[in-house]
Amino acid sequence: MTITFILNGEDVSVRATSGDRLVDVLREDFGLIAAKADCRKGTCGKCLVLVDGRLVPSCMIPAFKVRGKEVVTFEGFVQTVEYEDIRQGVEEAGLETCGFCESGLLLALGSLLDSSARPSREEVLEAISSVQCRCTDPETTIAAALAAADHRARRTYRRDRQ
Amino acid sequence: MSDRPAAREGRSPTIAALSDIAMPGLVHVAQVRAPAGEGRLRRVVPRQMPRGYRLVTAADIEGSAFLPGLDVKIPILASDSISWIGEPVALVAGPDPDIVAELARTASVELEGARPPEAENGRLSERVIAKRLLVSGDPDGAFSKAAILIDDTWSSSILEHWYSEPQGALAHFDYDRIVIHTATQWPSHVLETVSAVLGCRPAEVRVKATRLGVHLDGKIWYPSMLAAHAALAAKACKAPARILLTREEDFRYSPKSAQASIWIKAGLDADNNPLVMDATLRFDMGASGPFAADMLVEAGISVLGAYRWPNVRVEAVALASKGPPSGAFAGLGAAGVFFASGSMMSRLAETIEEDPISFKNRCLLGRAERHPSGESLRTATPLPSIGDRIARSSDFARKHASYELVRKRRTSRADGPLRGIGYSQAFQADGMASSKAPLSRYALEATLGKDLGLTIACHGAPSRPGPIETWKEEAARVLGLPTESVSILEPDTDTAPPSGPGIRSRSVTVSGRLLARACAAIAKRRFRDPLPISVRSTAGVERCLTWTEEGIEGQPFSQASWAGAVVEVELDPWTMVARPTGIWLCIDAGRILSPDRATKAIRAAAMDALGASMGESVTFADGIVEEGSYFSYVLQSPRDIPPIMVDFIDPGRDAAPRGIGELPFHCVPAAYVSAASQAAGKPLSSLPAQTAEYPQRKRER
Repeated sequence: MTITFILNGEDVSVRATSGDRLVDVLREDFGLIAAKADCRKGTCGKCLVLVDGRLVPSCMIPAFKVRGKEVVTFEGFVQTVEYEDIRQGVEEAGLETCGFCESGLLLALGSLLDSSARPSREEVLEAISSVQCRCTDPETTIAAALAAADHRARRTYRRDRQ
Repeated sequence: MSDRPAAREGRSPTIAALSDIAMPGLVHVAQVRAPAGEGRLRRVVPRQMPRGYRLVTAADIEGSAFLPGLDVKIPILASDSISWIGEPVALVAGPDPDIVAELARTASVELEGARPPEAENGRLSERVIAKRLLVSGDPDGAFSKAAILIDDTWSSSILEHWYSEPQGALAHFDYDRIVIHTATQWPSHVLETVSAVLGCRPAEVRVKATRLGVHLDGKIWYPSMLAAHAALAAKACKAPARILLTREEDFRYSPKSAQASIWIKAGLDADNNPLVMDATLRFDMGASGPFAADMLVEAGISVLGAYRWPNVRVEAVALASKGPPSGAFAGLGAAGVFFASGSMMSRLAETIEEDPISFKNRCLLGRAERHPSGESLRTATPLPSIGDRIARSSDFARKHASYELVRKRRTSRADGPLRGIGYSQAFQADGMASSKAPLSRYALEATLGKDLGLTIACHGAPSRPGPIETWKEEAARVLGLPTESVSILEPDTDTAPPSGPGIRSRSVTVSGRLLARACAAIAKRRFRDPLPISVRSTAGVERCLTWTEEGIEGQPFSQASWAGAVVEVELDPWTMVARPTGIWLCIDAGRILSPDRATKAIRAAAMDALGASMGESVTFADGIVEEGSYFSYVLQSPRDIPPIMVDFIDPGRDAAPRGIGELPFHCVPAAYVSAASQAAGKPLSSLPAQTAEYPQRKRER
């Protein structure tokens, strides 16, 4: 079947079978390799993408389910101004990942800041619990999230003033 | 080949992940596995073999059929006797990964003399791989004089490394050479293995490391095996070949931590001073333990600790079982033993009703006192000052005393809060074990180019961005260069000299020293010799430990780093589920190159150590990992992690940096279990520690 959807802001079409998972289509047909097909049971968080603004594990979504929807992968997210807030927060906090969980972790933080401009520690912990990895220490991730929230608040304030 | 541009991934490191490497004509490889843990292999019959797909067996190996350079014989593909359930007996290679996996799964493996799996009960057998004995003083006589005796068995579970990316390798031909891509701690061993298996010269093999991620010492030798599989498949199919285990395959069939069962009987004299200890350390090494001898010597030293035991008997045994070959997990076996010895010391302190920190500190060896390994301490250990600092920062004495009071007065769960606090201390010694030359020789090459850029090539270089920056800053500091002009080459056997494995913090303790030495040598020649200046620096691991019939020899404490940990725990009064409320770590590890990064690394390791203490456990049934174990194995959630306070003791600028990575695994579990025992009001002696009611009822049923 042919599936048409919006991928990182562009209209795209791809041929897929009913058994194809979204993560495989993204990686193999579009070369978007930031999402990793790791556990394939929806628990590791390394394949997280945004579908219509909701954070979902792309290994658990059949590709045909995104027909007509908007999918944003980490590659698309890094082009946004929202990512710039996260990037600055991450650099300020000195958050360093192993490189495998990074896309899921930062998308989770981005999604959190979309829903909560000033997230609490508990909200940050809840958000990053969706990404299983041994590499990061939660305190640094919390610091990165809170710094990113500050950057976003400042940017929004400046934009509103203009 | 096209390493897809890393820039598209955002901030990720530039080294590609194995799963991200794309190549035209790539074939996928899957392992056909033995269905039983014993018997003789008769043949492997695939259900069908479509055009373009190949079956590769041991008969296709032209060179050596075993992994080189290890103590034990591990077949690349089993050809005769089978050692464990899931042992690779053949490979299926072909263009479609799903078809390859299906062909491997449905291939018939015919065995002679195999018992049905249900006859194999559990993992432990009595086949001894290695055994060591240490006797010092007169333990039997001392027990008769002991005023206080305790006797218990402490056990730790089998742990999964849960790598950032599952194990795998990719092989392809580049004109007349074979190139291997794999995430490995030991590129030189991969090169040696592939050249031995293919029967070609080492110069005909090149190994390029892919992104390593978190490995917890599980990628020492197993990537060499998978590299050999990929190379065999590439040769058979005349195409690039990749083997990449699925997460579930990796969980069920790749090496695990060795399960430890530690029996200790210890006695104090009439003045409550250490008198005698008798310990039997048993490790389940799976089908074979490539580092069994190294593990035993570390275990022997760790159980003795830095304490003053005048009479000692320690027996350490590595046993074989039907599980996958097991061994290293964040070190070589010391963690489980420190858990036992730390818990034992806490139990002794509780028995004589003394504060655990003061009891442990007064039992320590002093300056010039002789350890059973034969080493006389040149200086006293820093553990007393570590204990003092951590007691102050955690308010240990007051909390411990009040929780103890509550515990003693408690008649039911409703009587006051169920809280506990525990302390444990341990060490990590970089000179320990691995006296064999290939394991202990390290080399680094540094070149100062005409553009005043410094290039560093070393297999032991760190793989994560933070430690890489620390290396760059250190090299730049020595040579007076800007940090941006220092570059560290990706691990590649064509550019870096052969080296031992990147284990036991050796990127800091050995390779870091090589870096400093090479940079100092360049600095001396910088204004004398024309550029470029290249310096190769080599070194062996100093003060290797050995354990022979004569006893343990070496100097375990000469380069040791030291740590103390306090863990505070609260139990839910209804479910008895434990919730840690604080962790304090105090560390003396020489000069800390980057305190900020070291703090983060210690916190991440403490989180993993807490996971091993609270819930992580791989369960086996009938000689194989239980199916449900994969689905129920969950890493410690960030939600359950309490604040972790890390305090480094500053020894001054001249002190050499020492390893820190394993310290949380050595001292957090014992501290957690002591705290949970106090809170629950009952002694706990296994990892993960079960305080909750439900698992106990489940076991009883």
